[in-house]
Amino acid sequence: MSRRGYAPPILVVPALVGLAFLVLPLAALVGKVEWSSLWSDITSPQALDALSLSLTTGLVATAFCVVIGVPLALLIARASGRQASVLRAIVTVPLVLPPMVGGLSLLFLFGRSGWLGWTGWQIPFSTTAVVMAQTFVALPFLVLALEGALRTSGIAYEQTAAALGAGGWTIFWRVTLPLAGPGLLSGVILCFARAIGEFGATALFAGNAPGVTQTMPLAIYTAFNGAGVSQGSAVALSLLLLVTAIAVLLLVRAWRPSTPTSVKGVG
Amino acid sequence: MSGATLEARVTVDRGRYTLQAEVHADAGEVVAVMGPSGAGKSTLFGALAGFVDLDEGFVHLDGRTVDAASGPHVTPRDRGIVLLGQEPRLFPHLTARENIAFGPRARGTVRATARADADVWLERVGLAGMGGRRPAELSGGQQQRVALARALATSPRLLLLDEPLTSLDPETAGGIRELLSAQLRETGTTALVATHDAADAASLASRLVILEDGRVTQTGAVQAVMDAPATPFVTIIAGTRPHRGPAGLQARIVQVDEDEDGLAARARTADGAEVVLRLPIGTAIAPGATITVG
Repeated sequence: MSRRGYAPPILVVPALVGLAFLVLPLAALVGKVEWSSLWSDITSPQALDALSLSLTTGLVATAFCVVIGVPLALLIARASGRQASVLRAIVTVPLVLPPMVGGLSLLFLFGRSGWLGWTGWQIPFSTTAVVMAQTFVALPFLVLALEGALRTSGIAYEQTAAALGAGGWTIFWRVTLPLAGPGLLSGVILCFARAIGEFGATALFAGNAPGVTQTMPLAIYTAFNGAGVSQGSAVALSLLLLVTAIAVLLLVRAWRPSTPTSVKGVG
Repeated sequence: MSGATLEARVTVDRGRYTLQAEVHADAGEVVAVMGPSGAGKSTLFGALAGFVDLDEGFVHLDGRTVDAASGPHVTPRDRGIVLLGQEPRLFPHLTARENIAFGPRARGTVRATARADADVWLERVGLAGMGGRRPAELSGGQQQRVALARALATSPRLLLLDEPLTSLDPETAGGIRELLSAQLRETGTTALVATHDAADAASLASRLVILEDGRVTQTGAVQAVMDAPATPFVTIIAGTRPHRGPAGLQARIVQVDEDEDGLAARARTADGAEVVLRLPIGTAIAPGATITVG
């Protein structure tokens, strides 16, 4: 079949090794799950604390990302080519930066001896710090996904709306955002997924206090250092995060079919 | 608001070429703009609509300055000039009814009224009962009908039609041309129609402006321009217009109506084409009379 192209057939071997390398660890995790005690592991007080803290902070961080990320995406999408490249590069930095470095940076800005230390704000090692760490690492996902959608839909429809007599806010709510809707939704989903999975920046900037800053990833890490939740709970929470990740993936794909024809009506 | 008088002299410097054009349209008049590709028709329309900045000149509507290189710049939103292009640009996430209601809603009409009016418009453009459909569920011609209704529903002071029939197949284009002609006349909308089809100019407009290389090279009544081409381009388009015998077209008056503006005499030619002649009150004309359209 010509669709397969002319690559050496032997390359299928390393390809399968790669696939196995990605799938087997996750299968091992699922294999480790004590199904009989799964429910009680998840509903143990410490696990529930971590679960509810993760959900709350993840949702707040996502909401915060929407409030500041949508205008930022709009700014980049409507900037001229050069400015847009610079802005996009800035937004991408937290995406490629080790989260630890992000947490350290937040500490140097908001910590007691940091740039904003004189304000007397007690942010580090609080639940607020968890939300800020999550926002820092998750914001790029929302901005980049939405910015692409906004750029694709362009300003022609906005011009049409303006000529029909619509003002800035009407155009924003009734034309710009709905046209970029699929991009916004997948951005929000990815943003939330990244927020609840956040570990490094949270550990440095917010710490690991049960019930206050110990989110699911931190609880899992702590369990394997012999403290906090049981290892059974840690495995159960890991399973929960895995299931969440798969659900997120399916949601994003459902809203954004792989073929570019999905944007045909918008382009 | 409807049918403003347009008086514009616009200069737009685009580096490679300069648009330097003067256009005039009386209230309710339809003026065709013809020119080769790249002559500056779209730039001219963009400047009139307020999407392209003027380097020199002005745009006056009913004597009021809506744009001037040195002076005020009324935003597209408050200008009352609607541009309808080759692509209908219907909002893909809204139904046909919501698309038509968009303009009136944005200008403060309550939702129920705007929607009811939209249904009336749908009927006027021959799409009764299709209000619930999304643009993707409509054909190209139907989309262009909705776009026309959406533009007219805002009662524009000036309607700019930028090759509205170009992307349609000839049969569909014919239907839209008739619809355009009828609706522009009925609503008394002042309109500029950019086209590269002499038939469109002849059937829709009373006057013709020829734009070549950013300059107006000839202007006048459609027929007069075609009869006395001043440039090679006009000679070519004059050759493509519908053929007409030297003695003019014989037409029979089939109906005469009187309103406050004068008489409207509907004349029909032997092959079924219809024209409406606007005549001063008191003109002696009655159904059955035969006239020659020159």
